[in-house]
Amino acid sequence: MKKYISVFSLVIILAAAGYFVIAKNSSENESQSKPKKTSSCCSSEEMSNDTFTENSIYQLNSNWKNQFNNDVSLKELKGKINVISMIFANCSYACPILVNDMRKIESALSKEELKDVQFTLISIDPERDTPKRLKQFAEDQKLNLARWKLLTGSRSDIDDFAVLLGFRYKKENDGSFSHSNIITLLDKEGEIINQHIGLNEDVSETISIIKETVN
Amino acid sequence: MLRLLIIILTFVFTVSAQKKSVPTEMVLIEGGNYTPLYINDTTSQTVKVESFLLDKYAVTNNEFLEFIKAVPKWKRSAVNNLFADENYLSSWKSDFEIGDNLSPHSPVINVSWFAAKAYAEWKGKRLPTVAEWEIAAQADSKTKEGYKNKEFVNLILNWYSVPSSKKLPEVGSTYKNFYGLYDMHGLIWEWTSDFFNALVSGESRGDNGINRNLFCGNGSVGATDYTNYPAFMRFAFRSSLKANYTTANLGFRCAKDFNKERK
Repeated sequence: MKKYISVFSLVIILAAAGYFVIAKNSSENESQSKPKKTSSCCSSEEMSNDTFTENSIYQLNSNWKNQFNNDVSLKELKGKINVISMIFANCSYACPILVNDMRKIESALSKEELKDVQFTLISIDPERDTPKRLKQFAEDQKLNLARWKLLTGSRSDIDDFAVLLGFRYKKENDGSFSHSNIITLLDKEGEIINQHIGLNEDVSETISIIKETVN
Repeated sequence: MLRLLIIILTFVFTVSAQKKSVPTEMVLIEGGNYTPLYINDTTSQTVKVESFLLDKYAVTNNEFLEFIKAVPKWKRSAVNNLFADENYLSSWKSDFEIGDNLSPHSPVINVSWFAAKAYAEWKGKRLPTVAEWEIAAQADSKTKEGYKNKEFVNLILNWYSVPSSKKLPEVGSTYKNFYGLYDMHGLIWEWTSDFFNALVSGESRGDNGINRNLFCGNGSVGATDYTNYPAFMRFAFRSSLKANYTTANLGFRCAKDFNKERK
């Protein structure tokens, strides 16, 4: 009986201690979840100062990693026309075609014109598309990394970017994504000047818009 | 005897631990499988939803005003068109005044997805996904499966067909559902984090055109529940949205992961 009593009191003590630990943790959680000062979206300083034009997508205050695992902020993309698509590297059908369409655009431009043009692929699959995986994808697709950037970021930043491009996507249960197939042209300030919708279709309009804008 | 004690203590312990981790303004919605309204051949039919927390009430004018005071870049006059269109908070009197025409306890409306998302992040929360919202909204007052209750479905349809009153009622003025959530239908429409996943049909070419057809004659192709008209209407509504849209009657409530909360 004595033994039982001591075991019993031990249990009580453990339970009480456990309860306090939990209670403490959750109160810590509560304090952590208290309002944070700023949100990650569309910050502030950049939004109010006039380094961005009104419809520039680059004013999103988001953080990206490129295929070399370097930090990239969108304002670094200013100054050149940007040909952009959103993709995921494990995509077996649409994305390689989309990238191929972008390469068609690239090959139709002269060396002189290409000096003012960059190509950007933004991953919608940050869990699997690490910088390393994106570099591999770039090599498989034989992309010229002097001109092409492959970016990955947080889900929240990806969503912000996607909605501004009008890009719709949905994760499927098998880990793949259904998504729009859009090639977007941004001008040097980051404003949308043209969107090409569809796969494997004539990209000559996109090409002529780039040529007009560059020259 | 000892075993029984341990069981009882464990139980008490678990219950109190759980209580602690659900903030008073939220309820726990148990996870489950959600069947989207449209499915395509290439994907499996249900979406697994983890247990999550959801605000009992939609965010009110007052609460949103607090946010704007704390993060003034979201005040009406400062927000760029890219992130909220010209109707952003248009029913308010000024940047920092709700005005007498609105109740401070009515849901905030005329807010964009970006603004709603920023508010949620400021609160340490997030917007619910479509699947989460739909699971939570399926419940009527008594059961989790209100969509099987014709009366409940008709009630929602009635609300959809009536133009909204000029002065929006306060939160909590319609009904409380099985989970303890108020006004999931009948007061406002609500933003979801991934509203943009509506109308993506797999691997479609030029999917704009194809998807528009989904709402005309082809609407029922691939639909999983032909009787769930309210869900069709929400689906249609979501697919018409853009992230900077700020329409009357469109507000939001916040969600939070449950598992993270427990750690």
